[in-house]
Amino acid sequence: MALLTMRSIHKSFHGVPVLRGVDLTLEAGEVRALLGENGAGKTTLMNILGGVLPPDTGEILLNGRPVQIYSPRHARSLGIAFVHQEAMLAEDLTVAENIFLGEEPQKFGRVIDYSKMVRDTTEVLERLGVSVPPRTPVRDLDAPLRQVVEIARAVRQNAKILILDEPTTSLTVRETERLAELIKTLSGQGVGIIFISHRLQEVVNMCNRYTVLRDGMVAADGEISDVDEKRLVRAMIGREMGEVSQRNPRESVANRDEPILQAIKVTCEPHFRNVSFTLREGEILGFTGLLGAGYEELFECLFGQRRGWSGECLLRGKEFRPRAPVEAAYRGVGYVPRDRQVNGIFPERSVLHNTTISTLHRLSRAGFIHLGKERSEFMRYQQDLNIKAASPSGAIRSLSGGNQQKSLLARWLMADVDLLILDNPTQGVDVAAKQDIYTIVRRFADDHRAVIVLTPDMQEALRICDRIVVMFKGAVVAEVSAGDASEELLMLYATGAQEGQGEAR
Amino acid sequence: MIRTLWSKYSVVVAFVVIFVAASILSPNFLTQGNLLNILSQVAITGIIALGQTVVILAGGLDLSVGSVLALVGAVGLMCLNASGSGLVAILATLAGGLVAGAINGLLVAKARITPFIATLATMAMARSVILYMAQGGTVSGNIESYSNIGMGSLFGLSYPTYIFVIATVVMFLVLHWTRFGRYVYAIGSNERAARLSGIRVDRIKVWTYVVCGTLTGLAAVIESSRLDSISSSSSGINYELDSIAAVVIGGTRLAGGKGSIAGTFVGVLIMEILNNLINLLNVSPYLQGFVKGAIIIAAVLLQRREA
Repeated sequence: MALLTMRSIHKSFHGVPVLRGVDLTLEAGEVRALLGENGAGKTTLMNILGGVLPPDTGEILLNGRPVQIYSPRHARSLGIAFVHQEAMLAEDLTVAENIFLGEEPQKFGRVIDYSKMVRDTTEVLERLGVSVPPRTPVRDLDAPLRQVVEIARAVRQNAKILILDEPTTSLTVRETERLAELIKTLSGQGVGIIFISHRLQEVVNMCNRYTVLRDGMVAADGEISDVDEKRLVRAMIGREMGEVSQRNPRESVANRDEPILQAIKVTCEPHFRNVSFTLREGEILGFTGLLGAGYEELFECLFGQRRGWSGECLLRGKEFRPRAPVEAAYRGVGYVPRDRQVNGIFPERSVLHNTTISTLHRLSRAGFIHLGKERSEFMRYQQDLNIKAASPSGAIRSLSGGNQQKSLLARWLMADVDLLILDNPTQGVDVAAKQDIYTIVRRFADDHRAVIVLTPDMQEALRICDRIVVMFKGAVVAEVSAGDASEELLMLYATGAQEGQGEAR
Repeated sequence: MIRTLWSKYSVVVAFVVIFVAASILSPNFLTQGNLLNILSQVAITGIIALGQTVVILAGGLDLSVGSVLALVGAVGLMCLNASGSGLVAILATLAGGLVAGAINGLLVAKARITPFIATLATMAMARSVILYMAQGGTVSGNIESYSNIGMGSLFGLSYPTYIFVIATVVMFLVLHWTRFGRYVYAIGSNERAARLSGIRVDRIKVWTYVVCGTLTGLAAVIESSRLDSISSSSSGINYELDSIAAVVIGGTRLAGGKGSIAGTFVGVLIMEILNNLINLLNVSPYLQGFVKGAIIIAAVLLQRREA
């Protein structure tokens, strides 16, 4: 009998279906890879199993008995442990205290039995084959050991099912090997493990079964021994090999066009190293890769948000090393950040004020804003970018994601920048607005300017970029022309399954 | 729609309700003399509250205003005695406030100390300096005409009333019409986004404290001239709490990014009308604090409706 059976799970958010009848089984001692592109529904499915979200319909059986999982706490009591991507630990508490958090052994009624806690911790860690002093504060541990602590917490609670959500993103190769061993030990003890990862090589090495989700449905399911990395990629993106993307990238970009941005061996450990590239006038250059690939940090450095990088960077031939975003902006570089709710918008301020904030120096005299000019300038861009807002003075948070994003684009277009860095520009944006944004970006680049697009979405990279740089664990693995690339190829580079031929110049 | 209207004008509605209630409860309330008295009384806390509004809108807080008022007010009086010139005294008081504000701003923006802690420290320090300088006693001015600023009037309105109203209008314009004002709101609304939009966040933050300090200096001019003296131990006590209370009653969010000068203006008036009413109705003055507290709670609960 299966340890876990999830049957026909459905889940929608605001009427948008995310899971559409997903089945998943897990046997004791099995290591099952859960694969899929961003937005395929992996996280939602695991949140349902972990008691974070209730399913709309469908059933979950543990050892053949149907259960309802009400909360993460309830999930734990049923033997389901969810180890998140970023370790969720109390930094100032010791290893032992973290492992027993909320369930401390007590003696004399109310006093914590510290020595028993330490003893039990040592025992659990021994079972996992690692030695960490139980009294070490978690703050002093490195990333893999933190993960060990999280897993140890699960093991101590006698978890029968262990969910590992991209556990290797922050680990080095050697550390990943250690994790692999740990997984083997646990599965040998009869624990069923669900392993979420984008790194296919690891998946093939560590897991024995797999499930691929695509658009909220199971696209493939089977034994790892029957497949190779290419077949898995194909199942994830749902298209046959060799199928060409829909647009022809700009042909005219040749070496005769003036370079706008040149990076030479830019390094910022531990995030990325020796990154070199050249961006020319009229070009849209894409950067893609998996979580932890390092391209986001790369452009945080180049926009002056992050310090301590080495290497050289030239903007229009002159040294470019901004110490703060304002310096980058002054040199004509704009940056539309990812996660616009957190990094981009001023939620309770008006659309108008949100849009003109980076242009006020041009719209004012002696510090006083020319309110009429501000409004007319806004209207021009509103019309141009088709920003749908009931009134310029309405709060920006009442707009749809697409219109918010367009306002942020307008913020920099209005500031008349030369180079635009877009980090995940269509995150949470509907299809129509996506198309609008692509058109706006292309038009901007065509006007003797240039754009850098950072996106985890390979399809998007192929659709709007002329060239694409693929990074893996902080290094450039390939630089390809969008015309020659396929989603599959990019995915193979991004997952580290294939070494690139076209190392960046 | 009704919700946004409510969230925008709930302070005004509350003001009208309290005003009408006060007129009914006490026949002496709605007399010219009393109303003018209210406006005059409110000037000092009101002017400080304007500065406090700017600081809070940008996500900060200034606890030092009361102590700074005592310190720079006393320094102003010393300058008055030494120079014999009212103008010198005024300029010295304003400059003192400006410098105190700059120190607060640098501690918060450059040394990155939480506003609460930084200004708690400067509050203690400013008070200590003036206690030391005056040896715990009182600093008095010896030029009589100086008290004209605090006591004089024009067309029936006291000078402090004019100063308060003008300061309110100026600060209103600054927040709604200048780049500085826009940046203040932006920083309070989302500091990260402000930085990424190319705003010099640290510089603007320093300026908010400078504005608040200078307005505190202006309030100190009125305070020192009104009594022609500053008590090193009791002048300015609790002004920081009163100014913060006025800002909150006026609907400004303590976390910043949301609120207005107009709200603070009304908030100050609400507080003073209630104090005034307590006097008129012969209620014990010891209950003023209780009423103030109740108003703060009521204001916050009313404004929560917006969500």
